[in-house]
Amino acid sequence: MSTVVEVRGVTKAYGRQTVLDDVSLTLRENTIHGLLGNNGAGKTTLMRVVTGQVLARGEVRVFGAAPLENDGVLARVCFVSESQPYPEHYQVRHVLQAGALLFPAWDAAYAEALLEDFALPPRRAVRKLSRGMRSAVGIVVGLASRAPLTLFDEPYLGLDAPSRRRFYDRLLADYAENPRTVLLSTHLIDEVGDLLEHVTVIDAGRILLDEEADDLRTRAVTVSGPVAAVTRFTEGREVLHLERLTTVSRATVAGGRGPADSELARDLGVELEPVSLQDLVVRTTDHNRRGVLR
Amino acid sequence: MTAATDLTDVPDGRDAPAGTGPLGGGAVVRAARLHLVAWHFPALWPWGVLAVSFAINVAIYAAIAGARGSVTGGLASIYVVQLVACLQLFTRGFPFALAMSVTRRAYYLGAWLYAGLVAAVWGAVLVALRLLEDATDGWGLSLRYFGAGPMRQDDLLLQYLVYVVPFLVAAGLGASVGLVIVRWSYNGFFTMLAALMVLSGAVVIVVSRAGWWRGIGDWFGDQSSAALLAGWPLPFVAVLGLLGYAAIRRAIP
Repeated sequence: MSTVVEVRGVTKAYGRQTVLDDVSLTLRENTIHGLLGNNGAGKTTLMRVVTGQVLARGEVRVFGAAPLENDGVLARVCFVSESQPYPEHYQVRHVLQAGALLFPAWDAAYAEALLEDFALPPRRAVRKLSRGMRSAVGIVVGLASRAPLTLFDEPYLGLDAPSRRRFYDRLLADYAENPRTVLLSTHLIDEVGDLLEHVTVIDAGRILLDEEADDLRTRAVTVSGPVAAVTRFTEGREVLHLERLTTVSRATVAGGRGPADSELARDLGVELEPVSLQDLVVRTTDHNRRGVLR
Repeated sequence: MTAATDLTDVPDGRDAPAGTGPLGGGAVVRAARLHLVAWHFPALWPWGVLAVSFAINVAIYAAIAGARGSVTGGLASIYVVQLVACLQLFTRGFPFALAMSVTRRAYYLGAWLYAGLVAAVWGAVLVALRLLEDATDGWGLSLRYFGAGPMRQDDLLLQYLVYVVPFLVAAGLGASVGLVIVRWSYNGFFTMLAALMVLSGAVVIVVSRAGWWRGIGDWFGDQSSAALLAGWPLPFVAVLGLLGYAAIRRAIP
């Protein structure tokens, strides 16, 4: 599979604050990538660098060329931002007309269908929409653009749970019919866990994890049982998280998914469970914050 | 890590696939057409305000008996509204377009293409209205609204240019102020105002000390109204246009 986005050694600072610190990232063609991280981790800045909206030091290639000020590249890129600005006088239908004008692969019929799905009145002024409805307008643009590279930056702000579900469903269905490269930044990790094929975790401007979602799920394991047995199991392992009640404890450790591990767990009488994507990301970023770098 | 190349080296679209051309011609036209989406807003306001201004003038001159051969500056209103509209193209329209994958270059050139076409069409409408004003003897009131004072030119081509060029000046000023706000925010805007005040104060002092007022007055007196309205503003517009291009290339809304 070919590479759609290649970011190498990108560093961005606002004044003294480094927002992106020597970030490298590759996005494969026709894959749904997740960009996960806490608020202020650098997700939005990274996406704005990829779409040529922000200048940064380092190398960025999108479809093999620098995206900055490149009409040919950007016509194939759609970036849906949670803080997407709209002209004051625009109604919802004007946003769709602009999309039809600017994105070569725009599907107008699909856009109309999505408006109905999300109950968006075409003649309502965008500035009068609620936060969630504004987010839905961005989602409609992102899906209907059919851009070969589509970036969603926390596109669901203010959206209720059913609408978020609708977004994930539509994204998956359309992705199956019209494969493309998607980069979805979010902190609602469990909601999108099943959607993602590749996961990148960013924290404080650095990439902490960058792996296939399936591999990632086997990266760590939760071990629970009597305190002494859990302690035995975790000996010599990297402990990402540890909770202790009076007689039992529960630890998240790196690795621990091999046959020898299962045997040891049986011998010790502790239980091994897979770690959810959300827990894994939280544990990894916490671990990083404590300054214990992997 | 690999040696970092500087992303601030802006490519000139040479990496663009075939079909878009080195200047992104298609992209510029698309960016210009973006302003025709929701066209009613930028089109109706200037003419709406002009219509109100015109109606007020007609009402006043109809009420004041014997105010024959009157001259009014109400026509300036359409240029002021166009200035504000062009300012909005950059404070509101530009961040939207950039987020919709339009390049800065395409947006800027597209905005000028749009402003130029608007000036060309509206200038023609104003010429038609002035001819109508002549034909009706000043709307039956001897009112000189469209052919007021120095705006009035006997030559129709000059008349057209005298209407068109001020639209370009309005666009250039609006774009400049809008870009200062987009790129340097309101701190930049007020800094610019302060700098202009200092500059004009300095010019007044220098000119007064040197006793150049008379010479300057004579120079203006020697110029025709067409040169002052449609000739000399053109290099001014060109300078604003180039400054704006330099400003938008690094603008991050």
